[in-house]
Parts: sequence; structure tokens; C-alpha cells
Amino acid sequence: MTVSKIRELMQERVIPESVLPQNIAAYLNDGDYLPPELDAFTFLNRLRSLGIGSADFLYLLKGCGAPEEAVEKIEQHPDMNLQSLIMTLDGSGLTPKDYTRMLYTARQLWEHTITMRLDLEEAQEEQPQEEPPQPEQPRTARQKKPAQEQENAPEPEEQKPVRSAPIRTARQKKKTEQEFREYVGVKPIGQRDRADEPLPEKETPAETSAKTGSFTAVQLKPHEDSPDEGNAAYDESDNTEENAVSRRGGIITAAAGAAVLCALSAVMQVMGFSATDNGSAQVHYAEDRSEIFAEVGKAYQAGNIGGDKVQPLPDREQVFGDLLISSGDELGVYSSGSTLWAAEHEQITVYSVSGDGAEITAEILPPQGAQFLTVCQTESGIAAVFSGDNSCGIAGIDASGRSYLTEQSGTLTDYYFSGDIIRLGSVYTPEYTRSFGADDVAEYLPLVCWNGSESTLDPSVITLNGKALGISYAVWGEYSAAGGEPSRNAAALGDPVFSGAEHFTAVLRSETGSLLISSGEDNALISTELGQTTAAACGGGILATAEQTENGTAVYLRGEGLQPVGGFSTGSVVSSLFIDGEVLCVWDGEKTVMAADISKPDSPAPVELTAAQGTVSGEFALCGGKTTSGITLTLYKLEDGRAVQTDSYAKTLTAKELESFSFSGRNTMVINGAEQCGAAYRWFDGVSVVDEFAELGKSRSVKTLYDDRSGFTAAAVIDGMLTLICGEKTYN
Amino acid sequence: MDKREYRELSEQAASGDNKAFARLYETIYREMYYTAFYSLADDTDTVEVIISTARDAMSAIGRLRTEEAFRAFMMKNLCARIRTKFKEYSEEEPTPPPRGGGYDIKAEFVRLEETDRLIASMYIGGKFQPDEISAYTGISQATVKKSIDRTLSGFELD
Repeated sequence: MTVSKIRELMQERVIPESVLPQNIAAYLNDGDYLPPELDAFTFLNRLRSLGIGSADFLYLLKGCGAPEEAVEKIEQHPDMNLQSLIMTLDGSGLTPKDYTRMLYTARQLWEHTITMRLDLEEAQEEQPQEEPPQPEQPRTARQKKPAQEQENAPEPEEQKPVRSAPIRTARQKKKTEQEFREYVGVKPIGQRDRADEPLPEKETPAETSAKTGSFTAVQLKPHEDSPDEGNAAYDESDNTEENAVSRRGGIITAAAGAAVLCALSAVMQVMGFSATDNGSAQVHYAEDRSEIFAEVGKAYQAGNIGGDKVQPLPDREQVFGDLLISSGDELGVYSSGSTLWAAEHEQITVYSVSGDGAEITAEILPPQGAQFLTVCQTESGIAAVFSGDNSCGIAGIDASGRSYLTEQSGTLTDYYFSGDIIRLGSVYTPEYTRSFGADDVAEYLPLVCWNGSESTLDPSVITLNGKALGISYAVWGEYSAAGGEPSRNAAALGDPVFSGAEHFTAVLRSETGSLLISSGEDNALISTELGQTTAAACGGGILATAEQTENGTAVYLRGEGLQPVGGFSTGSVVSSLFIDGEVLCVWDGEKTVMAADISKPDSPAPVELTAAQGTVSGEFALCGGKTTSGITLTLYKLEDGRAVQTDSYAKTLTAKELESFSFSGRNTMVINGAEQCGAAYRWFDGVSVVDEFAELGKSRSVKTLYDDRSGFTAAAVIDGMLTLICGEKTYN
Repeated sequence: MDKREYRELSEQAASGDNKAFARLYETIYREMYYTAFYSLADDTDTVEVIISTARDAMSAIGRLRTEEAFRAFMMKNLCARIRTKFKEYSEEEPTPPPRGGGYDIKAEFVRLEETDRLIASMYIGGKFQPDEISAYTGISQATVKKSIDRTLSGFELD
């Protein structure tokens, strides 16, 4: 007998109603609470919650000795509605104890489906002569137990079994349960919440994509030979010569974009790209707080609040040659000496790593309701940008555990790192809680809070345009990455769509379309009227705006002076734009749908990108992929603007194992050039949860953990040594 | 459960939302049940120790900042309650282990010495690792490992 066999036997024990989560809540307040006696209605509802349809429970009724009269009546009326079913059961003489017993049986089957570990095909091979299930001879949970256990079991198990059954092996049990499950309609794990409906016919990848929206820009170049389209988001693994050929042959949206670009040229010519009216005359910095107060009052009285249609911050992906790499929830591991920072959306953990293990020395959390979005390493530690509901900022922590927190009003729309500075763009809508006057600046001006010291923006850095179209602000701030200290701020009052970070850049709704306001290093204001703008992005001195035109949406590229120098139209909804290096990406709210090379802003060119999941470090990227026969890890090097495969690792897994496979652990994709890299992943092998870390590079190895609760929690190269962290343990 | 979800649920539970607590409890009740049942081998006592533990956790939830802390609190509290029950049992008339044909896993556990039973219940039924068992029970890791070895060899593992 094995441990897992003993465990299986232990878990055959059905957990009593009274300690189930849905009942425990009642006990927390009432010391004498007893769960209500089961009646027909509750019984049927519970069955349904277990995934057993009310029309399919005859098998259970018969097995548990329900009166024949009731069974016959239900059999003869398969379309009986719920009310009639309840009345039939109520009049059948079944007692609460009977319902309890049936529910125990049903739940035990349900529990077993959760712990289903055996490959059914294997079981079928071993039991080729086993007869199909006999609905007329149902087995109850009790019948699966050895006779002795039944005799010793307390109520309700102490009731006599309806029908004795031979002691069966675990595999026999599993098989029978599966058959029963299929018969009574218990759905497999993961499908319990789905309605009872026939499986849809096989969908085309496009239909699947449209429904799930789970594909990313890999759809730009679908792998025609990939049988598992559902894994496309992770399926970059087949980056081989063969697939390179298929990729080259792929018809992609970007190619369509190229055609669009040609059409766009004509549009551009028609539009002439003549300089539009410069609105600087009306846009100006406020003279004092009373001027802002007056415009706020005017907007508020007119019911103009603004800030309700703001460009969402897209999922940041990194353009790496011809790959578009997403790091998922991992924000990275950073190390300096023996200190290691592992960053996730919800927290940053600081470890002190030594030969004895890894000790957690500090943790920082984002403010309530916020999440960390990106992290950069500073001279002494790390700085993380966060955003939440109407507030964003930077949190930093160094090797000694010393931390800072800087908050800026508004929800983040853009961020920018350069050397020791971090700039944030956000959109802020004040929530007035009381009547106030011009002196109550905290009520109506944006705020910056550095280590608990709160201050409002100076009126002299807030721009007004006199239109009173909103009381919201596009807020901009520049901060030290090392200590979070604010150095410069600016804001624009109105109805903002976007606030850029590289420089103070605000896109506000105007009476005729949109108003673009920007300032350079010298703080000189410049503004221009735009068409109705839905999205914008700043980067590398380029400002991109997506504007509604008669023919759809056009994306304009603007240089100094804010005048368009190039552009293209898109066939899709533009929810957000972002610029990574010299590539402008168009995001439709769920995924990147188009990318353009803007190194020459006057002639943007479409870029073919393949989506991948992984991490980028300098000129290397490590990506993980899942295929139909296993998984691969591929190391790419950036050469001549293309991602070139330099190393790879493959592991074969069965289809069953792949169902539970994930690149897991947290922050475990690590790259130290071509010398060392690796990643952790996890799957269930039928008996245990297996965590593995595969190392590539000069030294190749695989480190395996079995049934470890945390698995690998971080990996980094410390003093040239690849270090794996698992809870408080480390492995080299 | 991710940290954000835990934080939200624990805050709701701390402000008296029993359903939020039930969702947290859902993450560990199976381990608790199998640990308690196969340690105590008694339905009524098992339910009693689990509900008492849940009540304690509900009143302490505000200071359990992470899911790990919550799990540790639940299991430490449960183990303490189980050991209290052991003391009560030792003052009562000993009950002979059940006999009969077939393989009765509950009977196999009842035959074990109480501490071994608790450790085996946690290790096999609750899937806890020796270091976790040590942390929850206060028994040294070495003792835990010896106990597991002893129990497993008694079960005549393959």
C-alpha cells in the first residue's frame, strides 16, 4: 500500500454537513446552531450544486431505497417540473435522514471526481471485460467501503447498505465512479459552473478567439500547424525553421495594416497635415487658486465632472525583435549582493540569501486597492510603480529594508523611467465631500503625498482653458527613483482622456473634439485642437494620438510642435496606445492588435510580431511554450532586430499531465545571458504535484520538488550562481 | 487564492462577514477535517474542535494578514484542541480498537499512539510536510520524521 492509497482511503470519509463551508458561517454566531433538516427542495438544490441534474437523479433514488411508487412516477414523467418533483418527493415518505444519505452518496462521488487521478484509458485497458454501468443496480457510497468500515461507521453511515458490493481496487472504483458520473450527469472538474447544454460543435480558431478573447498578438500570425489553438497565448514554442516558414507565409493583420497604410497616405494627403490652430492663446497656467476655483465652480454647476472615459493602461508587453513578450503576473526578481527583491502585483518581498537559506527581511504592499504594475532597479534597491482607484505612485525599498511611498492623485495612464527619475501621468477626479471655498485647496486640487507629507499642486503649474468642461485633471509628476522625492509636477483641468508621462502631456475633451496640451523641459505650453481622441501615447519624443475620423480611427504621429508628421488608419477599435522603443502598439482593450515601426515617424511601417510568454533581460529573452506533446523553453538573442534562438530545452509530457501544467512559481524565469538561464514549472503527474526548475546554458540541470506547497518562489543569479528559492530554502 | 483576494476577504470577515470567512475556511477545511477525524476517531469531537477553531479564527482574522498566517493559526489552534481531547480521553476508559475483516483505515489509525496518530493524520490526510507539522504542533522536526517513518512502516507500504 502506498501513501497515496492510504490518503485515498482516508478521503473516502465524507465530510459532515456541519463543517462544510456553507454551514460554518451559521455556527460562527450561534453556538447552538444546527443545520436545517433536509427537505425535498433543499435536497434537490444541493444535488444541483453538486452538478447532478434534477432529471438525472433516479439512479440515486433507486440506489438509496426510495419508494417504488415515487420512482415510477418520476420515471414516467421525465419532463416533470421542479414543483411537481418536490411534491412527489414530499409525498413519497422519504425522511430527512434519507435525503441526507442520498446527499452523502452524491457528495462522495463529487469528492472523488475532484481527486480523480487515474488515467481512464489506462483503467479501461486494465479492465477490458468490465461491464457497462447498470442503472438498475446502483451502488451507493457505502457500498464502496469495506464491510468492516461500514459496521463501525457512525450515523448516517451506520445504516445498512442498500446493496453489498465486492471490495474493489481503487482503479475499479474510479472507473465505476466515472461511469456513474457520466450516467447521472456529474460534470467534470472545471465544468461545474456551466449550464446543462450540449457541447458546441468544433469551433474555428477565429470563432474561439472571438468568444474567449484569450489570444494575444500571436493571432497576428496564427500557427497554421498548431492543433491546439487554445494555447496560442503561450504557444510560441515551435519557433523552429519549419515554423519560421509557416510564419513567413502567414497572412497577418499587420500586412493588412500595410495596405491600410497606403490608403492612409491618401488620407494624409487629403488632410494635408497643415498646421492646425494653435490653441495656446486660451490654454494658460493659472494665476492663482481663485482662478482655478472659479473654473471648477463653473464646471461643477454646469454638471461637467469629466474623467469618466479615460484611456486604460494597457497590459505592458515588451517588443523583442519580432516577438511581443508578456511576463504575465511576474514583475521580476532583482538582486544586489546577497539581497534579492521578488516583485509581484500584490507585494514585493525582500530576501537575504545566504548559504543557510533565504530569509525574508521585508515586504512592502501597495496602498489599499492598488497594485504594483512595474518595477525598476535603483542604485540601492528597487522602485515600483503602483496604481489604484484614483491614486497612483511609487514605492521603493532598499537592501536595508528602508522604504518610501509617494502618492499622486489619479489613476495611472502612463509611466516613464529614465536614470534616477520616474515620471507618472494620471487622471484625477476629485470626490467632493462637503461645501468648500477657494482656500480649501485639498478639496479641489490634485495632491502629492511623499512619506506621509501631503501637499497640493501649486496653482502656477495647473493649466486652464476657460471652457469649464470638467473638474478633473490630467496630472503629471516627476520623482526621484531612489527616494521618491517629488521634483516637478503639472496638471491640466478639464475632462481628460490621457495624461502622458515622458513630458507633461494632456489630452482633454473639448467642445469640438479634443485638446492636446504639452510642455517641454522649459515648461513652455503648447496646445492644439484634435479630432475626437480615444487614446494617446508618448515615447522617444513622439506623441501618438488615435482620433475618430469619418473613415474610422486614424493614428497620428506628432513630433515637436504637436503637428502630425505621419500616421495610419486602423480597422479595429483603439482602446489604448503604447510605445516601446521604436514600436507603437495598438491595443483594443484586450490584446495588442497592431504594431508599427515608428523609427521614421513620417513613414510608419507595419511590424510582424509573434506573441510569447516570457521575460526579457537586455539582449536576451527566455520564453516558455506548451505544445501538444510537451513544453519547451527557448532562449533568444536579439540580432539585427530579430529574435534568434540560441538555446532550448524540451520536455515531453502526456496530454493528461499537460492539462495541469503551468509555468509556475513566482518570478522564476531567470536570465544571466547565454551562460545561465532557466524557468520553473509545475504539473500534476497523477500522484504528486511536481515542481521542476530547468536550467539551460553552459550547465544544464533539472531540480525537482514533489508535493511542495509553495514550489519555487523565486530564482536569481547571485554572485554568478543560479539560486533557487523555495519558501525559506535555497538551492544552488 | 491570491493575496489581494485574501486581503479583501479577511477584511470583510474582520468586519463580521461570515460568508467571507467561510470562503477563507474553504481553503483549509478538508485538511482540518481529515486531521481531526483520524486523530480523534470520533465524529462529535471532530465537529466540535473544528467549529471551535473556526470561531477562534473568526475573532482573530483581523490580525492574520496573510493566507499562510491564517492556515498556521487554524492548524495550530486545531492541533492544540486535538491534544486537549487526547488528555480527556486518557482520563476515560480506553476504547478497544475496532476489529473485523477488510482494511479499515480508521481502525489502523486508532491503533496508533496519539501523537503518532495526529502526525500521521496531518501528513497523510492533510498533506502537510514535516516542517509544517512541526510548526503547527510544536513537536521537533526530527520527532515528526521519526513518527512518520514509524507509522508508514506500520502501514506496510510498498
